[in-house]
Amino acid sequence: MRNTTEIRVLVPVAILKGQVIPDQMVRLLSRSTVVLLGYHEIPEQTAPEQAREQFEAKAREELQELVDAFESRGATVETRLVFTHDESQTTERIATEADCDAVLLSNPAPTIDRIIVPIKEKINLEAIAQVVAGVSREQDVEITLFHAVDDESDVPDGELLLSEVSDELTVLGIRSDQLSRVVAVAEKPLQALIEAAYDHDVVIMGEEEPTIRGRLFGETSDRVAEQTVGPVLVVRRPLALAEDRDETDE
Amino acid sequence: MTEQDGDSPPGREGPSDESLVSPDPAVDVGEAADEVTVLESGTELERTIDLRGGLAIGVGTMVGAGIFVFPGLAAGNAGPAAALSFAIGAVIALLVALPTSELATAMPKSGGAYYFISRGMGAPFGAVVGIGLWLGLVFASAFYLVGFAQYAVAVLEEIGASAIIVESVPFLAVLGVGFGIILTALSMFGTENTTKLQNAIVSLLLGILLIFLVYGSLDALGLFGRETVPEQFAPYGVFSIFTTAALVFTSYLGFAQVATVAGEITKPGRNLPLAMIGSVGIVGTLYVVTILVSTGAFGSERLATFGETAIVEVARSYLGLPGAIAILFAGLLATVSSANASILSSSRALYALSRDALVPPHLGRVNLRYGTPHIALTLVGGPTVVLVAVGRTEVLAEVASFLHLISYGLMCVALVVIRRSDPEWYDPTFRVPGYPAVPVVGAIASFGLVAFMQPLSQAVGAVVSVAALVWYLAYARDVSLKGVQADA
Repeated sequence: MRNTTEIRVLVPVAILKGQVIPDQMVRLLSRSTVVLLGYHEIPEQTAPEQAREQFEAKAREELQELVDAFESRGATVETRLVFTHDESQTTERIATEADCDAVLLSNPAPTIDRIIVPIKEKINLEAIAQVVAGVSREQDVEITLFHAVDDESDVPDGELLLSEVSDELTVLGIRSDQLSRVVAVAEKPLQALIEAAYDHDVVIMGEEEPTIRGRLFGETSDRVAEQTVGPVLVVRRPLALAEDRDETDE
Repeated sequence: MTEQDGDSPPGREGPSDESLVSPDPAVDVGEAADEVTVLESGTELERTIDLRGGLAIGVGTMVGAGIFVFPGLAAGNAGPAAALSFAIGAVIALLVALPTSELATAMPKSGGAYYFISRGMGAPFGAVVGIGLWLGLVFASAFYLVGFAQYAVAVLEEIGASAIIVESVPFLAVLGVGFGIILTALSMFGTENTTKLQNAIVSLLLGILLIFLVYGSLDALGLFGRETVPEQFAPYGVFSIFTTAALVFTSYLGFAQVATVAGEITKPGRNLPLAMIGSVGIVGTLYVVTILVSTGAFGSERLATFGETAIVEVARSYLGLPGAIAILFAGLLATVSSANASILSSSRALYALSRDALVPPHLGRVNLRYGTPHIALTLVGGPTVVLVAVGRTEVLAEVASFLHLISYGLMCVALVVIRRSDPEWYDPTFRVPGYPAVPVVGAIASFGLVAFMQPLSQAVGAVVSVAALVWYLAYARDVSLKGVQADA
């Protein structure tokens, strides 16, 4: 269908609230198609039309500045501007409509040199690898593949899992000297990840396994975004899986 | 539901000579999809209220009055036949809810009745209805706040703090005004989304009422050995049934509020009609059962002596102190929820007027920091607390109903006008069954009910409507609505 080496990343921005996308993040996404979602969340006392009439022009202006920033780095940009009562509903809808591979949960990022990629299980590996490769190819970044197990005896399995991903990334054009692998033994995998993320600048992780419609992000990615200082790029499940999920919903 | 002239070619009545309706309905039509409205500029407006949310708005706005304020008053006026008065109200509300649903699915925009009527019948009617809705909801909010204050006083009496009350006479007004100010301030500065809270409150209320009413009905039927108070069904005559219906119609002012958020409802073609008709059905049933249970417990004469909080005594007689406490608590919640919903709807009505420049446009301005229409909310909260301080329950209720009934009647007329001129853009996903009988009867019933009100309420209502028309002639005569032909 479309060029598989190019990925589509949804970048939601709370427009009019002074949220900025860190310049380093703009750089990292320079080879991707960026779906820039400017959203303005309004309380329920206010009709979206009402806020739209007043703020649309200013919002468009701010959105255009962001577009210029991304385009000057070479990214392809599509924009959406939405007035909404519910930011997460909007993000989910746009991510699906615009066929995005990943969603950025933005945090400030002063520099981006090191990316950590937690791998939890076999699900969604291909999509994760494509997104990692899509953003890191021809960029000067180090990539740490991370897997947490709760028992020593599981370490070899973890090694195997990571080497699979590593091979896949090499095939997709990542140099092997960019890649390192860490299998951590910890009782609380999430805590181990958050600690490991401290000395990395960006987290790229998979969306949690099938959740009910209405929750794009499993809790994990949100918690990681809250507790780490850098941006988190959430890789969505492949479309086929998502479609299955939609059908079972009906 | 689809019947009659679905796809007949336009102009079968000749080149629609006196068409008031333009080929283009709106200021900013946009493409309405299930979850979003996409405007011409590409900007999107997310739809975030689902069927449950829509029902919660309808039921939450209505349930405060019919159960927690009116049973005593209504029984005093009409005896057990007050149940019939509530049923009449429900039928009229349904007759209006059906045309409203059709209009709302054709124009799923904010503004509700004002929007439909101004687009269907032109700016002067629009102005009368828009201003009437703004002030009608102000009267309704004041009515609910007075009800709230009465429940607050009843709570104080229950916990034995009634000594405070006797000493300060305007206690009721102080409570009502104070709470009115708090609610307005919360709407202005509260950035937390309240839908979830509203849904939870409505579910809780329905739960409490269901237990109470089911137990009460069984008891009143004699299952637990109770003897109901025997009495004539309509001791005050047939006429009193209709005057009571006019009085209690305030209990049905919530369903059209669903239409004021039509722009935010998901799957509008399905959810709008379901939410409006469903909420009228739910509350109508509850009201009728409540009256039967209440008059069964005490007989209407005694019930009337309990005044606005009569239902508390009814609950006490069936379920003892826990029942009384549960109903007191429910009464506080229900009246607050109704008042809050009415204040918000009223500010929407003002916004819709300001968008069309029928009132100064800055009235609809949104505060960037809080994201709320602070000027409109002030113009709702201010008059509301004044009315709370001076108003009587019955008059507040009837004026609110008067102003709403005018717009309900006109909405039915607007449906007929639009259908007859059959403009190209008019493509409702829901069509009124039984057209043209339903909207015609709906209009006659709405205007007819006004005749049964107290003279004072009729006078106040008429003055407000005339004042709205004068305002239009003085301020906005030269306004031409987008989507309505200039010579209309």
